[in-house]
Amino acid sequence: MQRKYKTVFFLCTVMCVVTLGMLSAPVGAVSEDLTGQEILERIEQESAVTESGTGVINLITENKRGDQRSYTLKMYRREDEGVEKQLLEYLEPADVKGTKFLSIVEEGKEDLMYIYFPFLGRERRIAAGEESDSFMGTDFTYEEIGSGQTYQEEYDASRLKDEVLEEYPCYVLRLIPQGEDSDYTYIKMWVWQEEFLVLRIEFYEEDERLTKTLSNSDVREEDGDYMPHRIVMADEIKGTKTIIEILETKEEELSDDYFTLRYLRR
Amino acid sequence: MGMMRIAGAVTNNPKKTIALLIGISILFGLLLPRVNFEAEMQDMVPGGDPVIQDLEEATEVFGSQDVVMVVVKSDNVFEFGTLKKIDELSRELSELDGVEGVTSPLNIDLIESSDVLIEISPIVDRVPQDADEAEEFKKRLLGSRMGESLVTEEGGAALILVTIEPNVTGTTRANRLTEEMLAIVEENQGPESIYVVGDAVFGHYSMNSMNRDLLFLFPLVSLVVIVVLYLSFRSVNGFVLPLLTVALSIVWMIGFMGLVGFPFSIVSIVAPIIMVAIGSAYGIHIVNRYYEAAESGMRGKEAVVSTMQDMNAPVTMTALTTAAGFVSLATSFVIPIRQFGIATAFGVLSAMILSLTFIPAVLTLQQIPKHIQKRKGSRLSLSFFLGRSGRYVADHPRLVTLVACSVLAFFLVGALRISTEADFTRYLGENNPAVVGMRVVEEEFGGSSRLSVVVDTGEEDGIKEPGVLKEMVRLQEYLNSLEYVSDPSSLTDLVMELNQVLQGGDPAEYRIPDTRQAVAQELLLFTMQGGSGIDSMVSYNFDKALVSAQVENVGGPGTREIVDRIDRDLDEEFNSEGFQTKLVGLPKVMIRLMDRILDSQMWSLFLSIGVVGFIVSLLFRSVRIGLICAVPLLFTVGMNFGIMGYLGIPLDVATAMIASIAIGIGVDYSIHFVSRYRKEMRGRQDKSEALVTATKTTGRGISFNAITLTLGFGVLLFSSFYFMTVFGLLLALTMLISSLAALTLIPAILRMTGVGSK
Repeated sequence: MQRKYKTVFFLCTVMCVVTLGMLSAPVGAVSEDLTGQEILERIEQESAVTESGTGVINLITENKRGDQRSYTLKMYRREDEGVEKQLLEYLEPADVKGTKFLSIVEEGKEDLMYIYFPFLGRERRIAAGEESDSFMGTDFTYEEIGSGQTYQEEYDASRLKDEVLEEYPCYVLRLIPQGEDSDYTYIKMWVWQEEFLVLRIEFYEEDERLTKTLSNSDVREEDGDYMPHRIVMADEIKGTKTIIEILETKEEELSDDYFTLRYLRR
Repeated sequence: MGMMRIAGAVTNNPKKTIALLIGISILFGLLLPRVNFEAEMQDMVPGGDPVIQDLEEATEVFGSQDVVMVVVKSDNVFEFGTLKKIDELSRELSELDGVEGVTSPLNIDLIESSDVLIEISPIVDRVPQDADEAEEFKKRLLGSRMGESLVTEEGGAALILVTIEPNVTGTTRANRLTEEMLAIVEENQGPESIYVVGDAVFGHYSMNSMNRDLLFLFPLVSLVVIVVLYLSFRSVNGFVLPLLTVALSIVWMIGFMGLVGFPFSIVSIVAPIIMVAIGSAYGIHIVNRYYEAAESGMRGKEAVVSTMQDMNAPVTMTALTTAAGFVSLATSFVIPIRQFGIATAFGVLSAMILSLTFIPAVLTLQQIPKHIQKRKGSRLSLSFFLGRSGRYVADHPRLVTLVACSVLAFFLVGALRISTEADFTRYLGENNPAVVGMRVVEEEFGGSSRLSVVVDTGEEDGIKEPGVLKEMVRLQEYLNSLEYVSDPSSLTDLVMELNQVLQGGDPAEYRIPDTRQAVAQELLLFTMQGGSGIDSMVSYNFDKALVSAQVENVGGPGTREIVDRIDRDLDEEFNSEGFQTKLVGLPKVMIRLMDRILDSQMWSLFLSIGVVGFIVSLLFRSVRIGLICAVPLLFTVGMNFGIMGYLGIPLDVATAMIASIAIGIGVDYSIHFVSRYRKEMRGRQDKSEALVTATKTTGRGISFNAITLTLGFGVLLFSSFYFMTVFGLLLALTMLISSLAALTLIPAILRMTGVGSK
């Protein structure tokens, strides 16, 4: 029953998504006869994670009435030799500016996570927890956003009739979780045929009840790579939404200085 | 005359008439299934009232304001069995459809300091299994502000808060949900005593005791009416015909309700009972007159035609005025009262039509019963008494008027003592489980109703300003200082608790931090850690916040005092630029609604006096007769209010309605009397003789009718529902008074003036 640091995990995962499309390899010819499982494999191939870069996003949560709370965050990421370093920094609103998270994940070692609040004037080490159910503040769960790369392993995919989703010709897949512990009975996924980009996911619970919808839109091309710049997770039951707007992404070598306690306190 | 043509057609074609009327009744009968038996509470009052809008707005911004409390009382709620029961109860309750969330001592989150800043974690992972675990749990619970409010210090009672989804509140779904909650609680009853308290529960019990009562009251009223009618006429016709008329007109009325989409509400459910009482009156008068004609030697059609000649006008008049009294309720603020008024008016007119057609048609087909043809003795005593009384009035009109005026004066003094407030608990009585539970909550935890103050800073994130938060703390201290108000809470408690925990638990740090940055970052941390519940205390963009407190049910006047005082103090002590406050909550809505309802009821009272007076003047083509007939009405209304004043019955939704109804029904006696008096004066000069004859003849119909109505309404006294008891008592008394006034005051005035004698 740990509920620790859900948001931190969430933001780290968002960062992965944001940096996902950055290094995607050019796509070969579209084959008509892919199986569902093959399509999932292709999605995974296309979404190789970038090694190093920055991104700025707006993280907006919206309640049932359409009122919004908005935060602007800058994210830094660097990965070398099996060490994954990430830093998140709040830029706006002004009263939380300077709040930062640092995480250093190294295979075989304990994860290092720090949080820094300007008003406290000092950083705190925080403990890692594992969490898969929903958390306050956003409409994502770790399962939903985190399984981007692991659909192939955790779901059995079958193909439904192809559809065109806002001009994009899509494969439509029906994913049934293999394990017992999934929140969903099945997932419906729309995949853009040309770039193997997931454009829409619908999550269904018992009795065909649509509970959540993830939409990736505002797809832009950069150097031959395609990436959605607006990610919306709508909770169809509660009527709430979490919106991620990607303002900028940059693939660049980042100095190790960003991922230090000194930078955290700056 | 149109009326006589109808009577002629009816007596010439009795079988066709009966067939036609039964056909119409079948058509209305087909509409019966369309009537909805459950009225939505939210449709009770029209939208647009600012006080209701304020509450709706607060609900929209801060979520549901409707909380049902479940109290578990036992010697020691920290014992394993009881804790387990509390846990199971809250689980079961939270699974109900329409429940937004359940807060119990076992499922709250605690904010605790840890080596990694703060931790928000459930108070326990499982129900404490042994004494040590229970002791630890108790310590943690009483150490938290939230936990402290859910259990009494000695452990004698624990509180489970069930938040109802906003779209369920005030609907029929709420009633079903309450039933389900009560069923769950019933299963878990004992050895602990468990109570369910809340507005939804009050509504449920009111609706239920009302429906249950009606199931036995309706047959009882019918029985009383049958018995009175039989004793009056000693003939099957005497009660079968009026009752059949009533039954058919009730079918017409309910069919009409189905046609126009009126549901059976908590108000209109009494319409059938009222119909039995007043709808039978027309038949009684007609049959009474028919027997009179038969006694005088008339036979068959001749007797019927003669009867209808005399009765068409007064029956039409009395029905129209009664209907007018009910229609005047259409001006009410309360929608079910409007619908009740319109439906009952339709029912009254149906009863009129059926009495003027169905009864003569049946009478035409019948032989005059033998005992009528030669009877005399049975009603001699009543006729004799009425004759003596009529003679006395005719001889001493001034004395009668003087006595009447002094009686009226006495009651008017009482009317001055009338209170215009009602304590809702009185409707159910102190023994009702909802009231008992409410008293338990008040005793153990303070109030059971919620009053809230909306603080509006007018700018986004304004609530995060330390100045604003400190002002909110002052507001809470103010609320806490008021009598009957307890347990004020708001976002400030959370901010202060967070600050204390973040500063290492130092009690001196239980305060609002000095900078907005600190407030914002503490709250950000809280949300990140999975902390919940902020949305019910502050608006999404932090421009508004809610300060809530519990208030005891201290009855209407007390609640009004509290509401008015807080309203005034907010205005004088707290409102300023960037800190606008507004008091919201059901207690305030109730008080303002009551004002609106009483205003509109007073309007419909005056309206009904005016309309009834107008109709009477028009029918008699004499304003003076209209005024004379109004005298017993004023008398009735004045005495009604006087009785209420002396008995301490407050003027409320139900009792304010009675005056309007009483005017419509009560004027009937005057109309019958004056109409007969005018008939007697035709071709006669002696006023006294005319008055005595009118009293002796029409007086009988009036007496029978008044006795029927008084006993019929009197049956409502057996209701366990205060609302019904008072309704029945006052209607019975007003019937008695208006009939007495019609038989004494009217002849006295007629004797003293020249009205109606030409």
